[in-house]
Amino acid sequence: MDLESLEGFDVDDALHRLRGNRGLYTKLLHDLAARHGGDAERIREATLAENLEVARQVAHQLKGVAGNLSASGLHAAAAELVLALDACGAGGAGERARAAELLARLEERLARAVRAIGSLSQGAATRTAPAGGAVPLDAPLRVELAGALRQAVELGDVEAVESAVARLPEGSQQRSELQELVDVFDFAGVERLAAELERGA
Amino acid sequence: MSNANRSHGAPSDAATQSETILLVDDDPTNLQVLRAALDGRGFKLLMARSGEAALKVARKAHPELILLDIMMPPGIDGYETCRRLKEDPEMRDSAVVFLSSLEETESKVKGLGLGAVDYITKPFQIEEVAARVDTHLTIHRLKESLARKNRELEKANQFIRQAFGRFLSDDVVEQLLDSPEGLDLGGEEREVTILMSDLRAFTPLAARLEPKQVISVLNAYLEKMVEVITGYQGTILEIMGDAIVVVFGAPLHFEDHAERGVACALAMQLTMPEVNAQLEAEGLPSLEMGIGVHSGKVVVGNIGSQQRTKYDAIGHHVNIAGRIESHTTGGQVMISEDTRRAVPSPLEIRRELQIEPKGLSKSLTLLDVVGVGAPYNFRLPQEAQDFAALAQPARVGFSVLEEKTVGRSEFEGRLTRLAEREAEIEGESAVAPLANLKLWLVDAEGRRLDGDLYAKVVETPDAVYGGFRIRFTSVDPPLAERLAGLLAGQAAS
Repeated sequence: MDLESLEGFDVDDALHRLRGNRGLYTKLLHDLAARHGGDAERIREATLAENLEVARQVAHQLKGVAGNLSASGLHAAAAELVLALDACGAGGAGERARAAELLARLEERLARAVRAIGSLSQGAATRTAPAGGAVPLDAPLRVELAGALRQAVELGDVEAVESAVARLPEGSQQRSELQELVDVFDFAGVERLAAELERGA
Repeated sequence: MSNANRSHGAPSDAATQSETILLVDDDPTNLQVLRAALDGRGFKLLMARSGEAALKVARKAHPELILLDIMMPPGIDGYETCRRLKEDPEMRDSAVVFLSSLEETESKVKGLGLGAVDYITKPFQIEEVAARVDTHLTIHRLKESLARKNRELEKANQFIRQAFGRFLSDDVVEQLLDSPEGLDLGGEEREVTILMSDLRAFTPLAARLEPKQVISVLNAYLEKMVEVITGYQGTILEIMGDAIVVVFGAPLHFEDHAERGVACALAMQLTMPEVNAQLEAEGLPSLEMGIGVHSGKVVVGNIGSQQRTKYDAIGHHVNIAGRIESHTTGGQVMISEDTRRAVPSPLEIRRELQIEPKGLSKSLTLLDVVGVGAPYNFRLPQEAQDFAALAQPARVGFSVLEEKTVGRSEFEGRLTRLAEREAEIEGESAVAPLANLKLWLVDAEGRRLDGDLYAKVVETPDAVYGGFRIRFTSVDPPLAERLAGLLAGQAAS
């Protein structure tokens, strides 16, 4: 299925926000499914454990991501649930029943979104598994790249991190692992891999 | 840059090329979306996924703008991040815009209350983010520019304080700094009053003192004089050894510049006993000062090169003030007619005299001022000279000083009456009023005695027959003793 037929998403609106980057949108949709597909379950568990703060945080984060990716129905359901969870704090059974009802609606919309995303062709956004495994690198290059990565990470400079990663052999395990971390701006992970790279691990 | 240009992608001016925006959100998807929205617009984009990471990046990278999410569990939230940013002098200049899906008014109010400049709700519209980013970067640039200009202004103010602070009263310096027109120190013609003072016979006095003593004498004298001058808001243009040049009415305009100048001159003379008491306490010789005051139009402004600039006054009226001062004796204040006309307060004039100053086509009337009325009400104490007629007039020889040079012609006369600081001489040669003389004593055998005496002709009542009165300006110690002996002998007899 192509993007334009994606149910539950205002694709034009999202593509406008992403300045027409269809590949990135496809990737971010898959990230949504992968990272947030279980959010309804997480909210339920937190609610049952009386941890309304965590339940609210998860719902709030889903609301933000859904909004940015123009999953209009999902965004609206998450927004309503956040308000209902807020009301639960000081409320009674009625508020909790309302929250449970809204959680069910969120769960249904999230499942529908994940299903729709699953039907999308992966396209250019899908990263292929590394074919080359860990490629041995010269010590000076390893030290230089590790230094460049560390410096870029300290400044939150993704572009500089990406430039350093691009100097690693294409298809190498090191490059692939680093790129995955960069995609999610996991700078702590990048630093850890930079240290391993330096040691030649 | 217009928002329309910004929203269509490419960076449109050089000013934004190096501007750095830090994007902070705990959700990588949101960061990706934000990055995609702002990428390619000429900004340097930095990322952080927590408040703690954002603070580290901000401290190192000093971004112009921070787009900050609020809820970022489990670390510190956006509010706390903003509070810490604004608390830290190294980071507080970064403009913070909250970007959150919290839509409640209280969230926005709280964020703005913590020092954020704006609040955008998610999901954002790309045009809105671009427009607000553009606006806040423009404001940031203007703030930076204003801060830079303030630093430059402060630097210029410091320069003015250093350049003028030594020679201007604090309130004049502050007025200069406060009024833009006062800062315009370019050349301009101004009606001002110029005061010139000089110590009488300081050069021979300095020659008799140790270098350290010369400095002690000058410092004691100048310290008091500068204090008096700044009290009258005079601008000291020059201190050359023992001479002081002061202007009243520039750089700040004063309607009463002439009155201030005359009052200041009298106040300076009235302060001299204090200076001399201090010198006497330190075992140093006492001083006498003459002051000339004149008013007229001069050119004032900063004069010099880029390396060395000085505020100065130029024009022939400055030279006239100098001429007037050169005709004074110790303790005198001489002013010109021009100054008298400009002073509304009543002046007490001891006498008037005409001089023919070199370089001037007409004669100049000098007024020997000894007092000024309200609001100053100053009066110089009248120095009564007790003359004693010498039973045996002393033979003297003298030459007329021309400028600073001793004239070639030598004349003879008889010192007939003597006081502590003055003497009367009879002779065959007529001398001009206010002429400066070098005199020496001659013994009964016609031999010239050691030591010189310098004096100014203060009165010529008998110009036809060469009689005149002199006031001593400098007496070498051996001669001073001899004159004191002559005076004591007459007093005793």
